[in-house]
Amino acid sequence: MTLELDQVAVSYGTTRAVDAVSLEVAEGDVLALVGPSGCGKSSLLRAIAGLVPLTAGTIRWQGADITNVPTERRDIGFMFQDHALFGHRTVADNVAFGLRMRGIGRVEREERVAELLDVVGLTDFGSRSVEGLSGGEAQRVALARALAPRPRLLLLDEPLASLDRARRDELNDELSRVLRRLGQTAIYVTHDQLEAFAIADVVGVMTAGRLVRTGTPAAVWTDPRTDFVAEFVGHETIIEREGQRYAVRADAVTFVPVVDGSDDDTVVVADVVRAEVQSCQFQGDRHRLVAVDASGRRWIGWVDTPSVSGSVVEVRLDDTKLALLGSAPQERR
Amino acid sequence: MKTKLFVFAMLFALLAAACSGDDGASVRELGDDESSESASSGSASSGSGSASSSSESASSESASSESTSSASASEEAADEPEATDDVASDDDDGTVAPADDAESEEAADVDEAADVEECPTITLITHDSFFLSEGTLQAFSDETCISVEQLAGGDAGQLVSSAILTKDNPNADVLFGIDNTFLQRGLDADLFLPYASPALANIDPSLILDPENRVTPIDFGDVCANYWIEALPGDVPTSLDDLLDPVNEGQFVTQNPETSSPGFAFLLATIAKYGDDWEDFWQGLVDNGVTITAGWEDAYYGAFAGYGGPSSIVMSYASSPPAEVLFAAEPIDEPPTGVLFDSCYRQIEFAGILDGTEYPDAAAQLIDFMLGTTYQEDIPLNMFVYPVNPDAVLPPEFVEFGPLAENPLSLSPEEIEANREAWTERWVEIVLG
Amino acid sequence: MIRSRNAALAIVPAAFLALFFVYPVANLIWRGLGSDLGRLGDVMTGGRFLRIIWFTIWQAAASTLLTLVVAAPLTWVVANRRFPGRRLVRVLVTVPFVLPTVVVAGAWIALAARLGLDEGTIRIRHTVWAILLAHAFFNVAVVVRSVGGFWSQLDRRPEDAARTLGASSWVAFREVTLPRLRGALLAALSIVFLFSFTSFAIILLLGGPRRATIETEIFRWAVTRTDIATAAALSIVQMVAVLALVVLNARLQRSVGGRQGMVRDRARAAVGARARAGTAGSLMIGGAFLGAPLVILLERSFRVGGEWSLENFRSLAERVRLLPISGLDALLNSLSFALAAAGIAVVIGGLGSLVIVHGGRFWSRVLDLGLLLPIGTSAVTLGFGVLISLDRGMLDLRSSWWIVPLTQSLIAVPFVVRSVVPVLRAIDPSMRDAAATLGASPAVVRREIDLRIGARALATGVGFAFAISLGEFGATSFVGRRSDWLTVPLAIERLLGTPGEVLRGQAMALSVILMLVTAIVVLIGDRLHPDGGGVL
Repeated sequence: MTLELDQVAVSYGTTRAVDAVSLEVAEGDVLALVGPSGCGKSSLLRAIAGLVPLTAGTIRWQGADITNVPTERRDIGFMFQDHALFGHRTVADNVAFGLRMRGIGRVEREERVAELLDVVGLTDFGSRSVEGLSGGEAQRVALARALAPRPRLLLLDEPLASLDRARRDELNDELSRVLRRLGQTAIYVTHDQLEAFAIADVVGVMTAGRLVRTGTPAAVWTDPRTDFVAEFVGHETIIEREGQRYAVRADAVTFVPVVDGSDDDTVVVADVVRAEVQSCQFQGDRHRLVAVDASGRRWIGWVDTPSVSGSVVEVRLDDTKLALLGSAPQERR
Repeated sequence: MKTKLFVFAMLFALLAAACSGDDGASVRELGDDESSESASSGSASSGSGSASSSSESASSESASSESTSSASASEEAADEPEATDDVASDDDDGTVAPADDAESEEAADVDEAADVEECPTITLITHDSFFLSEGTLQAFSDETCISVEQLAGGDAGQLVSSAILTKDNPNADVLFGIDNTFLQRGLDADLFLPYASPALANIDPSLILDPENRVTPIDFGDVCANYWIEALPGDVPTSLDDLLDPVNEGQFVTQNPETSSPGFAFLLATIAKYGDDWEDFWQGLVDNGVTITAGWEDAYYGAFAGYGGPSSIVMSYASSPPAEVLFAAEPIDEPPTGVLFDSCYRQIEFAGILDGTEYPDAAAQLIDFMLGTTYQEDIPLNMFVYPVNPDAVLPPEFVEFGPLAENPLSLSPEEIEANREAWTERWVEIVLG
Repeated sequence: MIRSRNAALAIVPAAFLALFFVYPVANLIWRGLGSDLGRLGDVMTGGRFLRIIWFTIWQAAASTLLTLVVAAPLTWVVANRRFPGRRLVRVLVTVPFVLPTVVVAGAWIALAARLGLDEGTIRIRHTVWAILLAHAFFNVAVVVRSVGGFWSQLDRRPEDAARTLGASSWVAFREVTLPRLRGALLAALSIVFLFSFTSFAIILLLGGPRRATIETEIFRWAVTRTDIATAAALSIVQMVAVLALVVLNARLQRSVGGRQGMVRDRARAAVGARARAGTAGSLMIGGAFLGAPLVILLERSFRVGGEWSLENFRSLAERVRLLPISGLDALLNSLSFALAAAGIAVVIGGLGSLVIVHGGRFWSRVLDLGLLLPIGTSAVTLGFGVLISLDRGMLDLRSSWWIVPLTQSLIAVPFVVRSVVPVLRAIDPSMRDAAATLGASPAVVRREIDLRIGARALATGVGFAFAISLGEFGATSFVGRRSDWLTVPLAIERLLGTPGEVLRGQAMALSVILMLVTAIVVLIGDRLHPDGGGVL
């Protein structure tokens, strides 16, 4: 394994931001750390960068302990949430900064800067001031700057958070493409699970300073294992069946409209529930439908044709698409 | 001039380094650790090599300052083994008490002086109003091959107080500008080495106030009330009592004796004239609307009728009318001002050789030169006072418009020093309430 | 590791402060009081001294308040309105700062006479009002430039938010803007207070003979009476008072929130007649207050024997009678000293700022307080202290050319620090982190980030440092200066020491030249940072 974290902890005063986190990242992999705000994912990232000191644990790179190596000698790239571009320099100067720090000569530097600006699609931006850039452009400059010195590890801290939705999807794709093309080992921090799934080889879910689930995006989505992870990845509904608790994935749910008159709202069969449509949002190729049954439980699924709010639907579940949760009943809400 | 150019060059380099864009200057190998970092930390902190070198020297100075006494003393002792004898003999004086390095320095300097005895550079410290024509001091250097560096050390009060404070280690060889109002303080502090210049023989004995010749009179003048002739509301004043005349109500401006030398001179004039009744005279002045300013400038240029002010009578000098003629905007034949001779107080300025000089002989030669006609004739038009040497030829403006008082008022330096505080405090009570 | 390196950085400013300030002042106080500690008791209990101490404090406080009131319209307009000549206003306010007090006092007296303010019942001269007005006149620049500069970069959106929530513009200012300006206001007002606290010539020339402050008393005892014990006792009282203020100010500063939303420039053009009238009105109030005395100066400089003439200026090119050198040479001397003083102030103030922002608590506080102290210290104490302290071996600087810029830079350093520190504090820390992740060591981060961004503020501070040196602030009159080092302010005073209309005309012409040069120098400084960045 290329990067190994062993029982890493970070505290600010008495607050434990990161609590005994251990994880591994293989070369060329992109690990996405997800979790709600304040879960410690950014602190963990900064700890890996050496920007905050560890209170416990070790960090190893290819077996060598780098826990006490200062940031500037860890050979990492870091993309900051607000980009942290050097406002007093041009785009090219920003991208060249890390190269300059490594003592790379002017000619080589200029070549590399041009190459990177090409990669991020800002070919002619070199001489511009970074202060006039749009959010998306700034983000690309930040990426180019972080990649320019060919860091062995790239750390990205919510790099898309300051962008609007459309930009975000576009740049997320682009980022993913660039990272794959370069075979760049990277850790990507985000609070958006879709962003994480889109870019990552491995997803790690954090809460309250702890890493609670790691796995491929598909594994985490299909098999979240805990209530928290299930809910975080979007499986809001949890049901119990035969003493086991299951998270209901959106693709496990089918809604069947019920014709007027038959307003029998009792459960007919075990898997069939009647619920009232609360909202039905258009999402392009399909609709996301939320319905509430008599017990107040929310059901979420995708439908091809929209239903009117207030109408009644029958909820049907595909048993093969339920995710088994740990047996500890942790009812939330 | 060289220092100036150096400063310009250094600072432009500094500013250029701080403001210029990046260049290849910061080439540094990755993984290069402590050594290169500490090197770059130096330049990061100051912006350029030159600046950091200057700050280094500052810090090394501070470091050495702590150890000066031991280190420099021992070094010099090593350089000059024979100096120790001098130190031992110097101790008998008992004057230089604490710092033993001062003595060894002195000893070293004596040796040094021996090499260049013939053509030393001596320092003349003066008050800020001191000024000579270009080349006057050069004439002395040409004559004697002694170079003179002239320093200005503040007003007369600052000059004397500084000299007293630096008595153990004076920053000059000759002091010029102590006047009869401060003289006793300087004498009491043992600032000066006695020296009787042969040229004194020629000089009016009333100007020689120290019988031991620790100071030598160089120039003198009269502090007198001046009036702007056209602005006078009544007759031309002829006596001090005229200042109490109701016709002159609000017409007289003088200076605070606490902050101004002509102001103090005028207070002394009233004491010399009225004796114990001086307080009544001042009460009369207050009743007649006297104006008090902090200094000569704001009295003459701020309150005097000739320059837009409301007062037609101002405390100034007997030599002010010639200056008015010399510095008139349009050539004039007569000064617009006149002098109230009854109010004149005589001010004498002295030079003295500072005890502690390494070059007492050269200093004495400078005193001689200051009494000679070359120097003496240069005094009137530069400092607007009179030369003490009667052989010096006065400029025509002085002869024509600047007569001295026939019977100027004066008090002895001892009396002044003994009573200065009591008088000024009493003055404050009467005049300022 | 970071700590120790910062401590190393602290050495230069700390050594500078120790050598050129603490050691001389302590030495003088020791000389004065070492054998006579009773004087301190006399001073602390003497009724006259207590009255003087009280007057010193209240006149400084009142001067600060008046400065704030007078500076308010200009500060507002410079920060909030775009208009032609805006940058020029920021430059012109510094002009009074450098003029010799005797010249300004003369102009004020003439102005009062022309306006009929010194006749009958209304009298300004020799009242405390003259002191307060003069302090305001000199110090307006500090407030306009520092607070105005900071304000102009303050993001409008929080105020806009307050307006949308129903606050009137005044309430929005009071509730939202003012708290955000507090840091800059405190920094500026503390400097104004210290200047007023230790001002000397203004008290004497304009306050009249009855007014005494701690500073004038120190001069009286030390210089007129050579009573160093009493002067030292008064110096201690002065320093304790100043130290208390500085500590209080630092504490207040610390409670000011850190990063504010900063923008390039919040100013907008005035739209509509009312707004335009507000702009014009504010400019006129400030312009009349600062400009009227300067107009009198200008007029005097161009008049010879009742006629308009350039003769006063022309004659300065040659060696003027009563001056050892020509006016031009005096100007070159002034500029050389100013360049050196500004250079020293840049190095010391720049390093000091880095330590204050990044250093450990100890050094940060020591330099934060220590570098401000010289402004609040008597010129007499410092001047005499230098004379008796820097007098041995290679430290014998008493007659050195360098002692002049060195002592001047003591007064200039606080201006550099007060302009750079807020900017360094405002730097987004992630920018420093970004540089570190790209391979920059802490030292390189300071050079590449702090120095680069702070350079603009540094330039502003340099402008003030220049002005302070050009105006001959500080204790330099106590150290021996060669006559061919004569500077413009000293030349002016020399010319004004002898009667004669020509001499006064030349003095006024020199004053005008000094104003012009100051304006140009400050303008160049401002040009170096087109955003007007920095607090001062």
